[in-house]
Amino acid sequence: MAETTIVPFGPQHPVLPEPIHLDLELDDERVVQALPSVGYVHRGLELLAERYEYVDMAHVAERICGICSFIHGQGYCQAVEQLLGVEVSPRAAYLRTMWAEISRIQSHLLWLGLSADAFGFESLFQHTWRIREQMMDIIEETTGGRVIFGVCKVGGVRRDVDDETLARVGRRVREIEAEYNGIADIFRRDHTVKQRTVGVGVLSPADAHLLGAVGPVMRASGIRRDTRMLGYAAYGELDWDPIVEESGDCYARCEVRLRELNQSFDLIAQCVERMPEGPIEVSVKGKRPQGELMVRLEQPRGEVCYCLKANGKKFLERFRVRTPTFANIAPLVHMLKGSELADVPVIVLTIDPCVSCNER
Amino acid sequence: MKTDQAAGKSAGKPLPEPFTEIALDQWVQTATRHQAAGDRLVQITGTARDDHFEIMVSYDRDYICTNYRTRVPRDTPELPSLSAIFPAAFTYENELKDLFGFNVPGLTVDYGGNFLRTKTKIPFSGSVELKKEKAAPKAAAKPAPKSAPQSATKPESQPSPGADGV
Repeated sequence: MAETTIVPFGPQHPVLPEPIHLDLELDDERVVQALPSVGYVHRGLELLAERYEYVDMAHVAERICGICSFIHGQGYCQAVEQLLGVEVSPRAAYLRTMWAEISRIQSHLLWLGLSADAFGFESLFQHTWRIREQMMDIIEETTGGRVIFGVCKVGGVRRDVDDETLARVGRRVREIEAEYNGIADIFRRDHTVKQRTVGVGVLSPADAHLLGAVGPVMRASGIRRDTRMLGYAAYGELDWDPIVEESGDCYARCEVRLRELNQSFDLIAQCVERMPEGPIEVSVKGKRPQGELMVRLEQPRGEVCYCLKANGKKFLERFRVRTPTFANIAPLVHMLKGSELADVPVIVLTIDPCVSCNER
Repeated sequence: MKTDQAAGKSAGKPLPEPFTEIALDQWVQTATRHQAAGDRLVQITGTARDDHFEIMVSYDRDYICTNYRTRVPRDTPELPSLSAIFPAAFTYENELKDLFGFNVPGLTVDYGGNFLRTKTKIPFSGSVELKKEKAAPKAAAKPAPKSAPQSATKPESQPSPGADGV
């Protein structure tokens, strides 16, 4: 066997929006193995749970990541509510679902734009982000924030959305979807996109299961599993079904996200139509969390786990987040093995790595 | 076996996902049983306690999670690897190894302490020494002139910056 070369990929790389590091062992242009390493921008946010009161910690949880911010806040609040034995109101559950799906749309559109940029398709990148900007405007209109929503709190939500705004959101979402469908067609049919993604970085269903893949990476390999099926928030009352593709390559992972965007537009419309009346929060004043549990939610990148341990005091004893990106590192290493060096950026991008989440 | 009934409800939906405590020698045996049943490894995580490490593992089947907790003594920090049973375990075990300094016999892909590259090696081993940066020399405080009148502060009529709501 010829002598191999080690090529560092990241932490700074033109296609990487965030710093992930891989040492690529190459035989000529082919990857023999990829050695990942994390910790480059680790922030130690989990430890802050021992120093901030459990109610205030929701703000920190939401700041784990700027892309999945709302769902981190939602997951943390949901876990604490379970420890407190508190049930949120139906309206709060629907509002949380609506914002979570808006968050999924902006995350998937961000990813599509970055992918187009990685393929060298600059105009597609700009059109994708132009559409994303309209979703960001909806976030701003309904929450007051753009990156950090700041609306989720232990016991419900901090802000209501009036009927007029809800109706406007429902209309806008359908208009944006119509505009998005034109962009989605380009991703599906364009020759350059297909050339870079079809048959690249294939993950079989058996490997996806054994290597613990989550989210679109897993569903693109033919496994029908979506944590929203647990029925948390309002998902149990809405009409939807997990999006599954069979081929397991980069194109399938792209297709899953494209179809999930349509699904999220539809889920928002359903939330707007069925939004129940009533209060948006229940008081948790004077209550202290007690016990240990794990709560799972579906982020745009896949299943996220929150492990909480509380001992009846106002500070949590332990707060741990298992992010979807961490779960997808093992499948990524497997997919990179045997791939061409030129395909590495595309394969890495199709797991949609969120280093912020990973380096919590 | 001891079980914590801590799991509550999620917006009206019960999610019974309790933690079951198992002995360390049942760690691999339990994983083998779950693998044979077609379960998925969800996560492995750990916490440092005064006299031991707590390690938690979760398996999923049909959206129902089974969580286990075991104890690893501090004097013999050795955790048998599950990576031969669940290939997904190797990233979690490399992380545990780098955080707690465990010996993980049977680890199929060992990054040799280079997976989690932290400034402080093995940060949760219990013998952490924090390096304190040298404090910057304090600038010599200038004593206020004794002759300065007490009324030399801002006049009351002048609003402080920001007081107008800007």
